[in-house]
Amino acid sequence: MSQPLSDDANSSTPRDPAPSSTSTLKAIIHHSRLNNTNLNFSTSVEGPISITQLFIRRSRLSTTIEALPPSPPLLSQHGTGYDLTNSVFSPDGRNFQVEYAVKAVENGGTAIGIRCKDGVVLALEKLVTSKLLKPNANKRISTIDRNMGVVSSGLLPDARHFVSRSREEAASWRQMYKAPIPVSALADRMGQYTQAYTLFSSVRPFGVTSIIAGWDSEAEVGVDGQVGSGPSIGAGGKQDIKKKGGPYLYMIEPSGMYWAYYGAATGKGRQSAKSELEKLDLAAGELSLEQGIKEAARIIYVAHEDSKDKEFELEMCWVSSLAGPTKGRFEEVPKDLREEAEKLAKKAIEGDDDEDEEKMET
Amino acid sequence: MFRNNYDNDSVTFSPQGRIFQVEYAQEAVKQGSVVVGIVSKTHAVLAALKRNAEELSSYQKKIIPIDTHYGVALAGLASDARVLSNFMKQQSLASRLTYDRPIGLAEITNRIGDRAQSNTQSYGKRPYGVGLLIAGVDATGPHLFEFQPSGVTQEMLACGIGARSQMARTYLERNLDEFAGSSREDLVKHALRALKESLSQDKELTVDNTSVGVSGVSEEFVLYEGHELTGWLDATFENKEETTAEGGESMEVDS
Amino acid sequence: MDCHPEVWGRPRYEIYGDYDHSHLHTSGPMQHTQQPIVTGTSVIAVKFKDGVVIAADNLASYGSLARFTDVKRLRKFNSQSVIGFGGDVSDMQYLDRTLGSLDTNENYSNSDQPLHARNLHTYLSKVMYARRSKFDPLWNAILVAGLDGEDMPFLASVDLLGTKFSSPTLATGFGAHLAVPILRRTVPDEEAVQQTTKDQAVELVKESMKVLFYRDARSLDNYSIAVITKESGVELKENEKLENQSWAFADQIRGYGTQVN
Repeated sequence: MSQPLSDDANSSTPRDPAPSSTSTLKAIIHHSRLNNTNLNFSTSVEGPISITQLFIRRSRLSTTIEALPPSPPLLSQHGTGYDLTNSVFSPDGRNFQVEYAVKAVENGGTAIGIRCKDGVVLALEKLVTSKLLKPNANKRISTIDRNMGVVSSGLLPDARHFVSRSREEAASWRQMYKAPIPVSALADRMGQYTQAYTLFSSVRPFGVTSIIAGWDSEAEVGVDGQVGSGPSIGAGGKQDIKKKGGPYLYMIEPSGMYWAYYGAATGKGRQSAKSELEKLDLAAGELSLEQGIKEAARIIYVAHEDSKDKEFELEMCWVSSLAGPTKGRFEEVPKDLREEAEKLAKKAIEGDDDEDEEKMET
Repeated sequence: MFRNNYDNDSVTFSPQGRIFQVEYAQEAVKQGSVVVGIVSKTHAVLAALKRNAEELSSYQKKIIPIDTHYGVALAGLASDARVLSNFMKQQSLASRLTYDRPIGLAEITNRIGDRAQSNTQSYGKRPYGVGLLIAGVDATGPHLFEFQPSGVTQEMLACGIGARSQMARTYLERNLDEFAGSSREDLVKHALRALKESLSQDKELTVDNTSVGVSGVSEEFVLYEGHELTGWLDATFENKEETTAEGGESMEVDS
Repeated sequence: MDCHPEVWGRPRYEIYGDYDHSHLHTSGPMQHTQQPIVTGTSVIAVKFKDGVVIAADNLASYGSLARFTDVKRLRKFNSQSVIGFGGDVSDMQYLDRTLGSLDTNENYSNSDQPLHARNLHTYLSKVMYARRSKFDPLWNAILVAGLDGEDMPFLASVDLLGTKFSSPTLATGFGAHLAVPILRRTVPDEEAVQQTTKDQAVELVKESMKVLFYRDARSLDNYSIAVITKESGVELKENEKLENQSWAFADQIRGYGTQVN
């Protein structure tokens, strides 16, 4: 999927020499599909492609641009007046306010998610902005329901808004269906909610990109409030139903666009994090959760290399199968495991540095 | 002349992804007089410098006790702080009524944070123009939280906000290691010294312009004002004359 | 969809039209619950020096019909409380879900400050009182057993009116008449609580459950029992059988069981 994206970038704005190897993660796309329609607005855009999909291409595009040295094309668009209000299109079909919201995300600490074969891990580079902050407090990965959680990059208060709405959605799902919300349904609802904030001039888009991780139970879960197992014989007896369940990972962007991912990254160090994630061959589904937390820690350390002068804390949460270490619940990674992963991460980084030096010498 | 077009309301992002209205609201905090908060393993302390409009007027209230276990110190628009503190009082009472449990400090801080955030995402609303330090003790021990107009809330070991508060923060950073183990008295002294750092040269801390709030493990939040402060002020700044000559040095030796 | 964020995600006006209030204005007087339908009988509990024992049988009756025989009326709440429900089973399920969402909410903040039994009892009493004040009570009698904020044994009750009280021994329903006198023989007051061991308390409760089964026609010899202590948290057994039953005493009693005269 990464190829069409960069092609679009080239064709629609010939001024940016977007690299063809734009590192965009392979996404498992069920819910929305980017077709290969060229972003040529003089011809009519094909049927079902939605406005937000166009936005997202553009915001992806600006991501690409930002990675390149000077970026005059984007800046030159300012001041024409179309970027002053949310929900207003510019003549070439962009919603600038959404793109600016993406900028807020790009300055946040790196957040990543890895979907392993037996669970999902979320990790966050939490930059320490002051010595006076209480160490290991101010947790930023939040639980949504027992089996899922979310990490965000961008404006902290917006992230909390996102989290509390997610919790409301999860609670209202339970109210209605007496069962936990599937991760896909939560991503869908939050995608819609986020998108609504791009539609009106009375609000602004969310200044966060959020990664949702969860485990849909593979076992049959009782109905909430169930007090017995029902008749053991005769009518009303139970049938064995195959339930799917498993690990899920989604990322929702300020436009409301979301995809399912094998590995997702956002925030300042997303570029290097993404290229590290791609090396893991997550689509093969071989990586174990235990290995996953080590990789997650390492990737956060790698992504931090660019802002090495700032201190940071690593925050990690995970969710596993019922048989796994978290018993289907979304929890913080235990301290000893996290510290071990951090130790390995530091070692890996130092190893890389040594290699670099050796290369320099030779 | 350059005019910033992106700063008229809180629903407009600048091209860099900033929300200027919120940043301007943060400036309002810097207009308020300085307040300082510190926690130890057993206590949480707030100290504030009060201002009066003129010689004969009363001093502006800076520390508001909310529930028996905690209070807040404010810097910025006092009327906004009243709105928030009334909300906090209400929520605290609701917790006691419904669960027979003093509300957790992290919980109440989150609630005002969420309230402040909603003011930054809708047209026709403005961000709160006040910063708060929330200090007290709950079931998990002493805590200090900082609240900003943007809705950002952070748990701190020590913090100072308001006019010239950078000096106070510098003092706090320098003495950070001592706070955890400090006694109640030492913690108050540290807070007063940090406060003093932020004062302009010609000003002194007096019983009139200083407020101190203290709460501890199995000790209710108490606000100290006026002559109740004499002892602490005398004990903290006993070598007042020397300090002018030698700077901050002599003050730190005894801590 | 409109420009008010607070209505986003709610049923859409364009599709569903105005909210239909008609069901609120039916002709004739409005009637709320007048009686419980599917019911559970007694819950009994007793404090001992390190904790609390609580028990209830596994029967849900539909009138005099023993309709459901595997209904678990002791519900565990986090690791230090058990709530026993007597009365309407559907209202119990409603309360159980309410407590479930309360627990979820509590776990959002990973602070180590869980709701203890006293908090839970206060909360339930407010819920029950609020509902009775709407003249629409939740038809239950509830015992809350667990540990309070100081990790001391806690036992208290609340009923459909929101009435709440505490005692070293408590029972709801028939148990209040039949079991409490037996429990009080051993544990008359807080002083006696200190003299009672876990084994004694469990034995006492089991004996009382047996008496209840002998005397209460809406009871079952299959029951749940939970012990809550600081050391081991909640030990909940949900499928116990009354042992050593002896119906010899019934031999000469007229009108007992199937024997009518």
